[in-house]
Amino acid sequence: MNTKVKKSGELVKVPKSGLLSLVASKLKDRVLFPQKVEDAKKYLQKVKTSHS
Amino acid sequence: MSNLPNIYDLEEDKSARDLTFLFISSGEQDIIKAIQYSFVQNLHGRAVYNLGFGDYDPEADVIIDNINTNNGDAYKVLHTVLSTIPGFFRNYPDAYLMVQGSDGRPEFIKNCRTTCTKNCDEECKNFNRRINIYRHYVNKNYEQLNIDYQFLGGAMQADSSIYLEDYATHKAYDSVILLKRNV
Repeated sequence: MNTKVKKSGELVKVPKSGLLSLVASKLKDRVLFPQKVEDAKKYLQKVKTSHS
Repeated sequence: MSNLPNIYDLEEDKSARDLTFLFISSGEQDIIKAIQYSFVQNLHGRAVYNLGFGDYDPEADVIIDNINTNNGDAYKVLHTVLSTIPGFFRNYPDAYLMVQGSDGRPEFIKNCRTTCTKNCDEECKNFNRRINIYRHYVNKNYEQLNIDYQFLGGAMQADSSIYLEDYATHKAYDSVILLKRNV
């Protein structure tokens, strides 16, 4: 009986659109730039406005 | 910003609080780029969203927003990021959109000096480089952009407060805030 052995490190070609969908599913519902959001909060707390 | 030429194909994902776009920058190497509009807080009765932009590192499964990739496609990448702004306002028509560079953080200059090869004297040439790229685009296209968007500029004062005013193209700002006009 022949057994299929999957070699480790074998590369699979994924089309770009498929790759983006895959990454999108991994990143779903994640805040990607938490530091920037915190920076923005601190920044806005110091805001004085003069615009019309 | 809705008719920018030569941009990358985008993958869009909207969650309850954020709007995310992904694309692949195909320059010297293929790099996955992420753009995320994240809710920050309310200001003057409107929601403020921050524009975040960086590279996705698939091995570490993290986003890096403090490196310059130099992938040879800077304008195409910039135009792709800007092309998502009309989509942001379609989703959040009454919101403020805030743009700040990750190289505008107070600690940036100190960190930059430890690795930089530019031999800057007193003024760090990399400080606020990213916001200056956005400002340059706004300044160059202000007349046209001002039809659809109201722009505000934010600048830190000597007392560390942030002065927010109607955008003036001749002034330097460390943040730019946009609001969609009802035209």
